[in-house]
Amino acid sequence: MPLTLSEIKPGNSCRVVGWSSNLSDRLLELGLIPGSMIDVVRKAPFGDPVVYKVKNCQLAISRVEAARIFVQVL
Amino acid sequence: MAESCHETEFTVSADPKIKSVLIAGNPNSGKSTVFNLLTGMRQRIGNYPGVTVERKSGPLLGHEHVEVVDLPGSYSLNPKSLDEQIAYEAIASLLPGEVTPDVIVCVVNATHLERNLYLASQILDMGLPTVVVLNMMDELEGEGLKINVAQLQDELGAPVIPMVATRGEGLDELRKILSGAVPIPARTGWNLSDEVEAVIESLSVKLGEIRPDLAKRRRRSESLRTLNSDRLLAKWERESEEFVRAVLAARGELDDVQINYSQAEVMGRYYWLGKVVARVTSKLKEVKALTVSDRLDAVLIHRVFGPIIFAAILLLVFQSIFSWATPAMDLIELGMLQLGSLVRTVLPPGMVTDLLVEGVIAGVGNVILFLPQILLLFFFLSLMESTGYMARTAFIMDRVMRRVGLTGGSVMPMMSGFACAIPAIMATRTMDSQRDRLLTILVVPLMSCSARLPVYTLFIAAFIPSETLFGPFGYQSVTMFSLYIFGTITAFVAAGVLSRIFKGPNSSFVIELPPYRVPQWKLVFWRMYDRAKVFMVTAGKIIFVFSIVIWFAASFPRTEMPIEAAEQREIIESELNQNADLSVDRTVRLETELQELANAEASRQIEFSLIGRLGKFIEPVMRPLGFDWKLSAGLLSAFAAREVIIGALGTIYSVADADENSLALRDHLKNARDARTGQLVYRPLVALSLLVFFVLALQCSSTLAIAKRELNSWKWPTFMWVYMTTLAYLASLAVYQGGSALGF
Repeated sequence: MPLTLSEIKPGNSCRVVGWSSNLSDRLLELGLIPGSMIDVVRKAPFGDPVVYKVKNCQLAISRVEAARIFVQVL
Repeated sequence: MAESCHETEFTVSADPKIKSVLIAGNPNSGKSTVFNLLTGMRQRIGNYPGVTVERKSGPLLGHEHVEVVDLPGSYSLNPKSLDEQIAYEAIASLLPGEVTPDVIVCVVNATHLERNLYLASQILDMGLPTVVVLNMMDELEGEGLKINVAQLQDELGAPVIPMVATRGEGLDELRKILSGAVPIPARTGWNLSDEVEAVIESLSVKLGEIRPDLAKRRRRSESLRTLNSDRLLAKWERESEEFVRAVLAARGELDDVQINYSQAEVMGRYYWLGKVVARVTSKLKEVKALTVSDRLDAVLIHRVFGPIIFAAILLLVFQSIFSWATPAMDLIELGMLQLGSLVRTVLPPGMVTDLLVEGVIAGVGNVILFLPQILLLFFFLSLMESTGYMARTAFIMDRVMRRVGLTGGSVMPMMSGFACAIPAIMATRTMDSQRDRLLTILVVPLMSCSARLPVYTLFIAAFIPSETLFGPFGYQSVTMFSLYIFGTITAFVAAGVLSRIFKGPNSSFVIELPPYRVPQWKLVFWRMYDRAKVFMVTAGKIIFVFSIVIWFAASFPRTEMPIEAAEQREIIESELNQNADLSVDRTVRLETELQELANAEASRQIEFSLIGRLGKFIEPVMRPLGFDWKLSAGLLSAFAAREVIIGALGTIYSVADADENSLALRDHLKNARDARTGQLVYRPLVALSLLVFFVLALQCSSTLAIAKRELNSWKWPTFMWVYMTTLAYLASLAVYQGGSALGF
């Protein structure tokens, strides 16, 4: 079972390898497609959402949604 | 269609005289700045017909017959929100009443090239004359990157104009290309998978039979959009059942062979774009890993400091709104009073003058009174938006707001509600989910706005003992604070309850955090002015009309002065007029007596008037809350605007020119006795019940007017009024009955 994006700690980088079927298309359109590099930047003060850097953009994505993205740590 | 991008040279659009320019682009791409440059900030704001999406347009500088439209920001032409749907439909000329666009200007953030080109390439695929604006070229240099513009132009098959819109750089080139003929773009070079391609091909043929007027590329693009988007499919249901059936069949076909069609486009486009971006960008130098923005974020959204700084900023904003707006508000009130007395000296006394002074001028005054607060609040909100801090407030508070069914985006509107519900409701426009926006609008008026403050002040000063409770805190300040907390908690509880009733897509799970920027002052002030104008026009009309209606209700039917009073007045007047050598003491005494007679007369008049009668009519319903007919009449008059109750009670209790600090009115309220029983009318419990009523009730015609404007129907404003008034009634009932049972 690959790791999900929500399990990666801030400060680490990973690469998207897949996603579960109920992931919103919008996240794909924002560039979270297989092969994309993601930097995990920082958690929100209350733990959710988390800021990710994708294709040079900072996106805050909720944990529920991040758990639907499978990644490989670099 | 592979490698087709080099096949076609730019073809010239048929009509060189353009009439409609649409500006499209991602949120945070600087789209509005480009719009402002092209129009010279001369914008007209309206709504697209039948929806709540704002339509911002203006004439092109130097070409007044050309209309420039700033489309809502969107990430993709596969719409996920109403805003995005409108943007797509405007480009695809699917909107009723909108002309076919002659040119599309697609604004692209050069530092987010790949992500922004996703939308740009979708637009290019529609085959309309398109100019790509490569904005924020200055920031690109800061990141040590360089884009080969000529090559990008070649890859995209459309003209690309590099710009720094905030400094107006590149504007001349953009204007030049817009004043000439913009070419139709060449076909972009990305591919769908073979299976999806085949399906799109056959859907395009089908669409060609139904809509032969559509160009081939439009048909292809429309087929792809409809295959991907349920929103657009729903739209076709009204137009062609045949096409809808074909799309559903195609979806089924692809599902059967387990091909995810909605992802086919994303993959195809990004695969191509990744290569394009790699070919056109080159790294000039290595830059430090941490940008200024990253360093700021390390503090501003820090786990501990983030919320503290946010709270401090909020406090600062409200402190300045209250302390800076108050002198201006006092000045406006004074000005209105003086204007009133001026009118009275110029015009002969009578009905018309009364209407002018007490109805019209007071009505206009009620509107202008809130202008200082609205200007200040929008100044701060625009500043936060312009610097990029606004997105951070949503990010910090998202988790907390989700607990009550809202999202981080509702934080600023809710907080703005403490100043005034009107700008707060207008501020919900930045929210991307319509459901969240509706929920926020419905609960915002529960936040204690500044119009409630005078009412709180008067009743607390009159009825709550001024002794200290503990430490530096007195009963009065604790009561005041509790009222604010009570309103806030109710707003959150209401949001929680309502969010369970309106289940719906809560789409804002992604918040983009743009880099921090130096504010564009021109834009900040422009937005402030613009929002104030919306308030003056929308709320102004309603408050104005209500003020006049309430003046009539308080003035008619007329009553005659009792004979003894009239006689007494005549005696005093004749003594004043005929004896030129009256002592000063005597003159003052006579004038005071005259004033008392006039006050008593005004009090009699209001009792006799429609509003007095209505007050008596609803008294049986309001009795259980502890309100007599006088308070009931006051509440009715406060429907136009909350603070009106003070003036109305002043009239009822024969106190001239009463405001919230009027000692005379305070004493009258405190010492009012029941005519029959001789008991005090208002116990502190009644005051508490009235205060609770004011916390919860929606007594503000302008809030209703703005909500109607923003939600484009009377349905939700009506619902809002009914639920808040019911809540207010029940809570006051509980307070008064509970308190009475406990012996207070």
